[in-house]
Parts: sequence; structure tokens; C-alpha cells
Amino acid sequence: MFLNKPASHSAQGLIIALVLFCFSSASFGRCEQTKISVDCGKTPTSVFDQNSLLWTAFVQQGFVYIAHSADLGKHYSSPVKVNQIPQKIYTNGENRPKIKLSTNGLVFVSWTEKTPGRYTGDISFARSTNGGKSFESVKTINDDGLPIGHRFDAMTITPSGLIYIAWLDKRDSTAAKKKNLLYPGISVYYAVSNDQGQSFTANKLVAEHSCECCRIAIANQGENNATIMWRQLFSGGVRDHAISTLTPSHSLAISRATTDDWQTNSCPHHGPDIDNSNPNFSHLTWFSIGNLHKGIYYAAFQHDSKTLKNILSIDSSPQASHPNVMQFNNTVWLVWKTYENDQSLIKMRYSTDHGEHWSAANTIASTTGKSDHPLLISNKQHIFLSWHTANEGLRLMPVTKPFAAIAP
Amino acid sequence: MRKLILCCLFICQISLAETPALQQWQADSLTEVLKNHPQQPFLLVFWSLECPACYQELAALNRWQKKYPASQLILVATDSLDLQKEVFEVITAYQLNQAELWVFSDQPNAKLRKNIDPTWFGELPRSYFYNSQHQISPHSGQLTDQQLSQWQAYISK
Repeated sequence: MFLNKPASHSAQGLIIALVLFCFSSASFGRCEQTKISVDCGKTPTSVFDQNSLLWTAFVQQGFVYIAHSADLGKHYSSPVKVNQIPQKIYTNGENRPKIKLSTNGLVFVSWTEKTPGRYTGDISFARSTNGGKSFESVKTINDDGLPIGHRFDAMTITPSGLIYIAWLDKRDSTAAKKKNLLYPGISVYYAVSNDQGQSFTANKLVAEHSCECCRIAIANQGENNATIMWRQLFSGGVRDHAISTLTPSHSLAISRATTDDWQTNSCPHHGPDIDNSNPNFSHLTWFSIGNLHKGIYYAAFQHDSKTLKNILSIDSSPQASHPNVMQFNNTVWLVWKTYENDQSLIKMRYSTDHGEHWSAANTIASTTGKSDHPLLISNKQHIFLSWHTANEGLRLMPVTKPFAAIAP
Repeated sequence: MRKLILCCLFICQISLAETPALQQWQADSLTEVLKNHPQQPFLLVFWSLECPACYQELAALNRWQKKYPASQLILVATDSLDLQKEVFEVITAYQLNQAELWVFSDQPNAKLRKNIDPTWFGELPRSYFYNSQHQISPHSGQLTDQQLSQWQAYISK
């Protein structure tokens, strides 16, 4: 070889970066293709820290980057690379980087690396212990060592500082197929870190026979636990939703979260969302084309009875998609994307009585070009819509109640 | 090192040049397709790289096309334009290159979907059987060999 080993390593990285650059396209109109920024990157995902500093993770040219903003997204710090060696990274469908912060200033990022093969991947994680100036080496969280599907990571950090990562995993499906056994769907696994991301537990099975192409919703439950909701394959090929609580040692028995009666062998690419601000029930929102429910729905899942209440059709139009729900200051907010009159719209409804009654739908943002899913985030004072669009870049917009009175 | 980078850029250029241009599906592409297939029955299939059920359907379509190469098949990938190369690799792997090949353009996915079928929620695979009068029979989910045989029998009458 004409290069010594360290140079070879960096040359290899450079080659991957160049190849990724060659095959990447300038998908966002208001930015220059070569500029690394939250506007030009893909699937930016944001969170506020305790001091209302906005932290955003995004993907561009084979790297996950983070940047922060002290003025609600008007200006950002210079992006910092999370992975040092370029990767193929999932940013399509329901996959996007996740960013969480500890109360003592650590930054945690998870994402799904695209590995060779069809719908294959590894769950990647990296942390920064110096306030986001640099990141430690990337850890692969799935521990089976198999070149199969581990995708759709979901991450949360509990008030006690435990980091949960859950994902969809193909190991049980692969094992069954090797034995020529029929295995509908794939599985849900998780791992926990109790040392601020320095290490993670062995992978733990939550459920077999999950749907394989929808994001998992995750939310903290109390000080130490997390709740996850995902699309599950029930008997008869019905793809409705299930819910379970993850604890540091094991997951609790799964419950059926929704009964939509969607019998299908198609891929919805449309995962749910969950908010656990209320101690007695979870706010759920989801999509279905079942015999019982079609479109975007809201309901409250009661933890004691394991049943739903206040089931409501939010938007039954076929263009309605990707809802997000968040309780903030005793108001439940729900946003989703739709398409009307040649524009993509973000619509919002809110409830001031824990989901019993809801406002009419209000349009709070629009664009004429391509756009990402809408996300709700909050600092101590306000709730915001975070929406990345081709024409406008990443926008952070306060979500407020319109003047119209709440519907009876 | 410099040679290596130049070589890499050259490979990039070759690879891009060799990636066949799939037709870009625009908001009015269905009108164009209907115009190009007057009084012809055809099967219009929407699929994605990210849809496991779609691969099983591509395998079934491959078997059908091998048996009935004259039957019209139009394949539209709903993936983003920067995945054209991967889309073409899958089409090639399933030996479906003879089909009419499209990929969604940079227009909003919901806009394209609404112009194809305002009742389609976006689930994949999604298929439309167009008879010679261009009457439509839509189907969500994976097509089976049996469904394709039934379609073949129908259009062969």
C-alpha cells in the first residue's frame, strides 16, 4: 500500500464522504448544496435544554451533526459532527436522528445507520460529555452482531437520567426463517443505560410480531420508566397498535392500545405518537385505515383499565398524516400534516380538558414545496412547532390558541 | 492520496452517468400515461425501497411478466429522487427493466398522491388495474400470483 494505516483510514472516510456527496441531492431549495446547516440537512430534530438553548440534530452528506441556537433558531452555532466516519444514514420514511440532553449538560444522539442489504441497519448512539463540542466514538446498540434489520430507533432520557432506546429488530424473524418457520412481522427490542450512555444493558425483547415499517413512539413514565407504542400485528393480520412499559430490568406485559381493525399486508410507513404528562393516562395519536377507524385519531389510554377513552377522529382525509401530540401547561396540543389547495399545511387542534373536548382545526403553517413531518417541542415558557420545509428551511413557530372559542 | 480522490470522483461521475434516468412522476403524469396507452389495459403499481411487502410483490410481478411479457406494467417508486440508483438496482434485480419505470419527482408526495387518487392514504404497495376502457380497480397491499393470473385472464378475453 502507498498509504500508511492512519492515512488509509482517513482516506477511506474521505472516499465514502465523496461517494455520499456524489449521490446526495440538494433537496432543500433555500440552501447551497455544500453548506452544512440545519436548513440544508435532512430530518432536523430539536430539543430545548433547561436554559432554553435549542439543540438540533440533522443529517447531511453521511454525517449526523448537531448545532445549537440561543435565539429560537434564528442563528445556529457551527455544526459539530457526531459520527467521525461517514455512514449511510436513514432519513427517509419514519427514521430520523434523535437528540436528548441530561440535566448536567451531556448530549445524547441516536440514529439508524443503513448497512448493506435491503431494509437493514444498526442502531447507533454517541454522546458528548463536553457540551456538544465533540462526540465520543459511535456505539452500536443492537448486540446480536447480525447484518439484518435494526431500525426505527426511539430514544428518551428519564428524569432520573436513564437512557432508553427502543427499535424494530429482525433477529427473531431471521431465526425463524432459517428454520423455515412462518414469522409475521419482526420484533421490538430495547436497551437501557444507567451510566449516562457510557454503556447499555443487553438487548431486551419487548414484543414479537410487530409491523416493520413504522416509527415507535416513546415517552417517559414516572422517574425511571418509559412507555412505548408501536404498530403490532394482531391475529388475522390486523395491524393496530400495542403499548408497553419499559423498566430498567424488563418490559411489562403488552396491551392493545388501538382497535382499528386494519387487516392489511401493506406498509403504512406511519407510526404513532404518545405523551405521558398526565400520570393516569397517555395521550395517543395514530393513523389507521381500518374498518373501524380511518385517518388520524386521538385517544387517552387509561393505565389502570388498559382501555381507551375520548376516542376522536382528528382528520379523516387521505392526505392527513404524521400527527404529533404534546401536553403543555394543562393543554393538549395535536398537530398533523395535510395537503389542500396546492399547499402542504400543518393543522392544529387543542384541548383544555385533558382530551375530552377539542378545538376546531386551525392551519398554523404552510408550504408549497416538499416537507418533513411536523414536530412539537417545548421550553419552560412556550410550545413550538418545528417544521423543516424545502422552501423555508427549518422553522420554529410558537403554537398558540387562536381567538376562536373551544368547541363544545 | 490526490490520485485516490481523483479516481473516486471519476468513479462517481461514471456511476452517475450509468444510472438510467427513470421518468419523474409529476402531478400530471397519470394523464400522460393514460394518453400513451389508449384503449390498452395496464397495471400501475406504486412501491418503495422501504416497503418489505413491495419486494414480495416485485417477485410476483417478475413471474407474471416472464409469463406474459406483452402485458403492460408501469412501476412507480415513491422514493425520493436521490434514491434513483437504488431503485434501478432493485428493478434490475427483479428483472423488471422492461416495465415502464418512474420515480416520484421532487413535488410533495401528498400532491402526487392526490392527483393519482384522492382516496389513497399512502399505504404501499398500491396497485391500479386499468382495463382497456381505463376503468380502474384499485388494490392496497401485496398482489398475489393468483390476482395477477386473474388479471391476465381478464385482459386476455
